[in-house]
Amino acid sequence: MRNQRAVSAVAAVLLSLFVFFSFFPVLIMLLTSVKSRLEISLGIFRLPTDIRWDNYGRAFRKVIPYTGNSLLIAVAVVVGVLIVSSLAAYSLARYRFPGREPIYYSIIALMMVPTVLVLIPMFKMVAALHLLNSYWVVILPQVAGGCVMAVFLLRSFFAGLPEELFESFRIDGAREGTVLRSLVLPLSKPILGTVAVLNFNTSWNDYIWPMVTINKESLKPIVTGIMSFTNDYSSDYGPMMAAYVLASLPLMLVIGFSMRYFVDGLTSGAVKA
Amino acid sequence: MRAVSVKWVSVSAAVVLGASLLGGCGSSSGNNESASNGADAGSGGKPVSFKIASWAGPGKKDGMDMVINEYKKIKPNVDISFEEVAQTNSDFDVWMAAQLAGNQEPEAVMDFSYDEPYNKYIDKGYKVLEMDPYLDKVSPYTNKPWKESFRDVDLNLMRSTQNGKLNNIATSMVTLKIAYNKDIYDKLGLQVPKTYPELIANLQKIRDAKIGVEPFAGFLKVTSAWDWFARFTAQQTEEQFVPQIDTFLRNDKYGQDEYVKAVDTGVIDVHKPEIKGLYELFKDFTGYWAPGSIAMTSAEARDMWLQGKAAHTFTINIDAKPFAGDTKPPFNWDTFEFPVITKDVAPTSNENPAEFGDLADAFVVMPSAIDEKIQDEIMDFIMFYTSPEIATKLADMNWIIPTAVGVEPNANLQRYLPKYRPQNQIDLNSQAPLGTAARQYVLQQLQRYVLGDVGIDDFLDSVDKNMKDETAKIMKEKGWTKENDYGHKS
Amino acid sequence: MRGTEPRLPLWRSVYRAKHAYAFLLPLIALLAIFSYYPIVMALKMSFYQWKGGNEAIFNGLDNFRELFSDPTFYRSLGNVFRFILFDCTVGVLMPLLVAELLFHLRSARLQYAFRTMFVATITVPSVVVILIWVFLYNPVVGGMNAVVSVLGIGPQLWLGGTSTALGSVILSGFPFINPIYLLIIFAGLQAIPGSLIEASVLEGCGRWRRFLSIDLPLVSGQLKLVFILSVLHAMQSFYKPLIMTGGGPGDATLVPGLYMFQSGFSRNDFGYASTIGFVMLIAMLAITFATNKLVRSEND
Repeated sequence: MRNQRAVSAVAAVLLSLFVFFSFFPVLIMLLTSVKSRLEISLGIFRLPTDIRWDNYGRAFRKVIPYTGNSLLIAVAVVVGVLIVSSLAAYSLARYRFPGREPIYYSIIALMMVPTVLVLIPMFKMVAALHLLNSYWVVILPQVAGGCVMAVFLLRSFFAGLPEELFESFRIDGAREGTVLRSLVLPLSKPILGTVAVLNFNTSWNDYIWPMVTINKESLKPIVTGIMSFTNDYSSDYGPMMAAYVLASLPLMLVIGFSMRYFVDGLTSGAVKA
Repeated sequence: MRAVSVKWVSVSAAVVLGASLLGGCGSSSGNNESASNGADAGSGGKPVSFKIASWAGPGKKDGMDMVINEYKKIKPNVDISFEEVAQTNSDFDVWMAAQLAGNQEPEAVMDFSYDEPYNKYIDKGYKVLEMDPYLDKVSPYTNKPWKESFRDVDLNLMRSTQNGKLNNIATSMVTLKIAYNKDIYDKLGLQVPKTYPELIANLQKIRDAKIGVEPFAGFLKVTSAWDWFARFTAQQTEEQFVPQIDTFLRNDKYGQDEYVKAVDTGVIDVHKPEIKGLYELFKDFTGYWAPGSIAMTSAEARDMWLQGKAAHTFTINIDAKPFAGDTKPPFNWDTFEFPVITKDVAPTSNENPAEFGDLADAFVVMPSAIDEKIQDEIMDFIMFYTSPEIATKLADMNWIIPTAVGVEPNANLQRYLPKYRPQNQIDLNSQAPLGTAARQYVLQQLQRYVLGDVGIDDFLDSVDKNMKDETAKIMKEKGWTKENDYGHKS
Repeated sequence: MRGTEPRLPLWRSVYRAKHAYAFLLPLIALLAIFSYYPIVMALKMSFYQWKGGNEAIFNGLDNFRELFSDPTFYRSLGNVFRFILFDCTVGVLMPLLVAELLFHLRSARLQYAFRTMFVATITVPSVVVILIWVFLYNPVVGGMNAVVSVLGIGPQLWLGGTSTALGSVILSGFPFINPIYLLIIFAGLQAIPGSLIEASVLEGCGRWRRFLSIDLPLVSGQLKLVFILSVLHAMQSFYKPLIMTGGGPGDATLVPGLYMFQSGFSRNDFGYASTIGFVMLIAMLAITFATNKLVRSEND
């Protein structure tokens, strides 16, 4: 018992160290966000003597118009990915049908295509489809991209669920949709939560594609919209960092929320713990 | 638990539905605002609208908005929008590549000058407006032919080396100086250097003094500093080559065909003492740069100087405003011109320095404008932009040096005024006329040479081989041979 | 459901599995339009000389021939191999270590807190991380030289030195704890039956022994997953070299992804860029296939 307490303490210390290093950039981001231009040039680690709270004012005014867009897109993407990939992963994991393996590998192979390669052909296509300057032009490709990894993760998880659970459902004559909805999904909360967080984050931080496809100011997401923080031929980092801080707040909220609801330990169903 | 997840799903579904109602399926053809309303050439009164795109730059939007407002007063039927669509010029390139591929490009852009518009647009097969015919037109804002708004030498530089045509019009000049920390100079009793040996002596003294300050903060992650050095030095040490190479166009500049011919016939041989000497001189100079300069950008170099950790750095006139306000150096400072290359350093030097500089903020008119037949309207706006009155307003606002003649230099730019004759980009070292690939290759090899990874001979050999390879590629692509005099005889 | 069913004629199997196909349909439709079509278009371009404009000249296997005799490409492969070697070992071991440490905490609340914090690090924009490291690596004003001088190593050029640049870029991934990989491995460890752990404790198994004979085998599936993901990520990523060194000095930090980007957007040689992409795709497929075959695991 004492041994365990000692081990726990050591673990806590090490973990704190790791978290500190992982979070270090966030600290710098916060520090830089209140500095003046001169002080930023004078050194990244220096503590500011000339605190510029108005960086946040400027950032706020720039970020707010775009926040709704980022939120809408990210939520739509998460919902889309969860629905589409759950269906597909369930099918791939629990059914046997002709062509199952080739289909699965074809989907996984999509992860191996460098995205920058696809930029121009994809743009030509969405231009021809008249999707430019709409939310869809950002949502649909993001859902498509997010599903690939999601299917990869979910299929592995679904396949690992023990057979016995399904037996009992099937004996009661449940339809397939019910099995998915009532049995599999509740058990898969941790992995679904992971998928949700991952896709929210990727969608939120996607810069290049929205920059290229959305020119209407009113539709731009945050990371694309917060430009012209330039005062000089290099960027004005103070307000820019403040903008990044503000932009990451919703992200933090979402993570907190999803950690609570989805990854709160496995209390439902017959899963080992 | 399930209740929560159901609610979650239904909330999201409502959001998505709402989004689809609001967002719709997008406008029917991308930039609807910019669709022409059938303006035929030159008829005032009919509503015309077009869009200018660029990347975010200091004062760019403010300046352009100001000009647009002024223009609206005299031409209320013209609706212009200016958008900063990307944060950096490289992101802008990605944006433009995509827009052009999908036929969504704006009517005009503000881009780099020199060969960039050719490399980025014409080389890919897009028809960008050639502005030569407009030079002879009378500008309604100066009542003189438009070409008189500019210096001939600047117009010459804006022309493409590939086809000699004017496909862009640069509106501001970038002048380059060397900024130095006066406090350190005073402390060590140094004088402002006039010649290259004097500069080196100063740098050496700073290094020997061991006061924890690097002599020079340079940068070599991109080609800029190298380009500047090469052009500045070449104007003094390689000018004698001009008559031998500038055989077709006779414009004191090297067109690509002239350059290719010179390489193919051996006139340009990197082993020649003048050319080899320039590379060696650069290595000599960079020997005094702070360690790590190879990976630094101009901003990092400038920051190092601001922190007092380096005594000198390159500075361009765009720095003037920040150095007077936001990022005022916490020490006394001033600038001097890049020092003259004297004969004892390079025997072939004519010791007649040309200004270290660049052209920027160039308008390029895109194919979409030509399709909509509104290029005359856009050129009118550009003529307005480059008229002395507007140019002066812009200069005052942003502290720039316009290319338009007849503008008094901004009083705040004392330290950045051009002092020497204009330069012609006649260096034989950066291989710029051979295209981006050749230029990048030279930079890469130069980085290794400067670091001491390769010796001068291996360096010259690799540059030589690449130069000849690129030349052969161009000749093959354009069907040039010795027999048809590189495209000038059929 | 398993094992002893007779083989059915094809159409029968298809009909039987109509649910399966129906569930797959939305995904396939979406992917067909937004993934497969553009990819095929892009890969098609590797057989053309394409400058990104409206004209493309078919030139068969010329691009491939040029690529396979291109020393720069091989150098980029060498560089990315070093990336992979590091990222896919340390990058898999660190999350494993952290996951194990999390399990050794006595307080569930503390575990939850740490877990949330690690996941939160996903929100750090990569541009901030890069900025910090670029500053740290500056030999004059950064901190790295000061740090290594404590260890007795002389001042280095870091990003500006040919022999140190690649290592510097690789090291900027410190502390190499990818939150997603952590979550995956953690979920795997969580799924280990408590009964197994109890049994091992009763038998007097030491912690290390337990780790080797229980934990490792039972999360090997997740480890394999994370390994594959990190290989794929390392193969394709080029953002860091792009911003930190531009591929230099020389081509010391050039990776295939960056080479592809530069070929396309800097040198207007989009056909060649597609060729590089094509070859990279084949390579990644091969690696994934090999890993799947070589490392057998429990749930697959």
